[in-house]
Amino acid sequence: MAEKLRVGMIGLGGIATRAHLPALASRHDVAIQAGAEIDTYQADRTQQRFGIPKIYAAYQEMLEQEQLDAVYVCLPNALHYQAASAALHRGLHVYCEKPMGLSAQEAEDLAKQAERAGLVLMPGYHLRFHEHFLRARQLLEDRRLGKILQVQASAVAPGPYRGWDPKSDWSFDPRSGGPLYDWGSHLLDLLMYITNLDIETVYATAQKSLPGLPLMDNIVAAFQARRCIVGTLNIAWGVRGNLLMLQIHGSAGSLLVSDDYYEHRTPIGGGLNKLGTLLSNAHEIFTQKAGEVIHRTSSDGLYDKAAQCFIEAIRGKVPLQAAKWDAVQVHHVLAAIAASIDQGKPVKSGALRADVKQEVA
Amino acid sequence: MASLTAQVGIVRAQNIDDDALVRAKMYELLDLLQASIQIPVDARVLVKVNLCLLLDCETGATVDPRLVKFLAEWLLERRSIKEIVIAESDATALSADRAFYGIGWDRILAEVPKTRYLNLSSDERVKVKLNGLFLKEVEMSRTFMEADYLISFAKLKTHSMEVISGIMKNQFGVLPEKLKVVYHPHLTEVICDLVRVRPPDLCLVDGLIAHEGPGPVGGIPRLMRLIIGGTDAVATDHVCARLMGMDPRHVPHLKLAAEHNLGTSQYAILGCRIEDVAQHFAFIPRWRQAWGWVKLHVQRE
Repeated sequence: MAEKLRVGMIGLGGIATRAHLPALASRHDVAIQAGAEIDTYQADRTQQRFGIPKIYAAYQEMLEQEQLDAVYVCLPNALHYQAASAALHRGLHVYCEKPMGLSAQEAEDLAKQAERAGLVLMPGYHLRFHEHFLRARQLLEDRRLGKILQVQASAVAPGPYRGWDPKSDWSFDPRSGGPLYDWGSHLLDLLMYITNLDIETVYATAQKSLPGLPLMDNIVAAFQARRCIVGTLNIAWGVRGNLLMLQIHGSAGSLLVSDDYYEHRTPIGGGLNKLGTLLSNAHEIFTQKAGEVIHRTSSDGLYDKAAQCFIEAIRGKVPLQAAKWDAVQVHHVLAAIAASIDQGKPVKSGALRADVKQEVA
Repeated sequence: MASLTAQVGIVRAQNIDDDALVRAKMYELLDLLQASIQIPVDARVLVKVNLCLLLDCETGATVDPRLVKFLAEWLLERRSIKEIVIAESDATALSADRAFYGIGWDRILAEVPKTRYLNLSSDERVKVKLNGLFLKEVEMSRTFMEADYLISFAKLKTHSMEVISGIMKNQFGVLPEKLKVVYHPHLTEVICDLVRVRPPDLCLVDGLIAHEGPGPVGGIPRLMRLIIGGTDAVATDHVCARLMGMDPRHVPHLKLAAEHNLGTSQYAILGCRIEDVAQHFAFIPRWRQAWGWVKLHVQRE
């Protein structure tokens, strides 16, 4: 491998220009060698902004012509599988934006391809690197909540309704998987990453928030997991608020965690503890919001951390934190939710975490 | 009961969810102490557990039933045992039966032969006279008093009045009376008296998930991954205090025990070294402790 990691970008849309390209461009050990984008205006603009040497209209051509080490797949959701599969087939490491395909079979197929070829395949679960969620994971590892009994997880946002730069129309195509495979993928991954949750059965229902839309964008799923855990998942586009929050309740306390809120509720401290939590969160919200205004593209460095993890995994320095087999498991649950919405009855998840991991072993 | 030098063993289970590992560690601890575990042939062993509220062991407030199961299996494998009685008494707020069956101890212990559960509050009682620091005569469970071998299985946790709750505080739970709260104004003396009534022959402490803050039930869990065992109640509690980062001299019942030559604070450590595995626990703030002492002395008056 060359001294600098030679990276190709498949798709130069919003997620590439806002998140991944700034993260990669700031690194000395990466050369952004080429990009592929069908929209010529977007391609030109991005090429100039990031100084990308070569732009292709089709990623297949880029994969054929360029000597690359890795690619970032930043296409609309429905195209992730084909692009990632083509790159793996050419022996390239792949950072695949979530979702890692649109079915458990697709996710599993990608994971197996990468496993067989000894390549790094990293799903784009950058929220795992958020300080609050890492703290939450540590709290649960330290057993500070006791036995976990209930989980409520919400991922609600205006979605593409208020416009996602530069284009968001593809999001409304039912083939993209809608909010279930978009935000729902993040939500489930975080939940399972933090709690080690093994969801067995889901019972879901969904509605359209606007009657003329082709998407079920207002989703709720109740689930039952191993170790007597029950919970709910709320996923919505079309709401005005923007919230990705987990509420985890155990026999010894509760945790409320989102990207801008963290509260560990315990019997200790009473009013003083509550006041401390409020002040701490107020401080954090203020500084984060101020930071967002100044560094709107930085996303608090999460994409930088994700890039760091991806590159170090390629160089064999660290094990991959956002693992492909976790994404496969997420897809099994997403598929069960989709099936339950269709069938109107509880559906078992295709495979449990333990099963998926055993298969790897 | 005082022995010149006691033994206290400490073992650490890195993964507390791994039943096989926890079992192996429990066996390791008992093997470390086995020369001191002198149980008469065909004995009835009573294991006094800490099951104070309807809280699972992951809250850090009650003993992990797996450990009691592994203890029973070790006893049945290595010693000649007639019967193992798992015992707890009613607490002021809750019946022991509800806790035992509610948490599911019966299911976990069902696989172990010769083992039964006993609610000390429902057992036949015998009067015991003693020249205690507070108690002069006390009613105790007959099965408890007549057991051939007594094992106290406590939890590693903090206590808002007694600073720590370990083996000695676990003895408070052998009182069959439900309204134990009436003894709280004289808790330190009563604890020492009850250790004297029937000192445990073997002391075990579940420190896999401990409990810090306003214990014994109002705090939060703390992952320690330890199991502690000793041949003397005072020595074992000394070690427990040190494992929680507390000076044993600041524990009221340990201080009183030292003043009255109860047990020993001379001990040899087996297994892990205290300094390698000790953590600094959160105890209740000093001002709250001081306020507790004021209330206590008013109640005493």
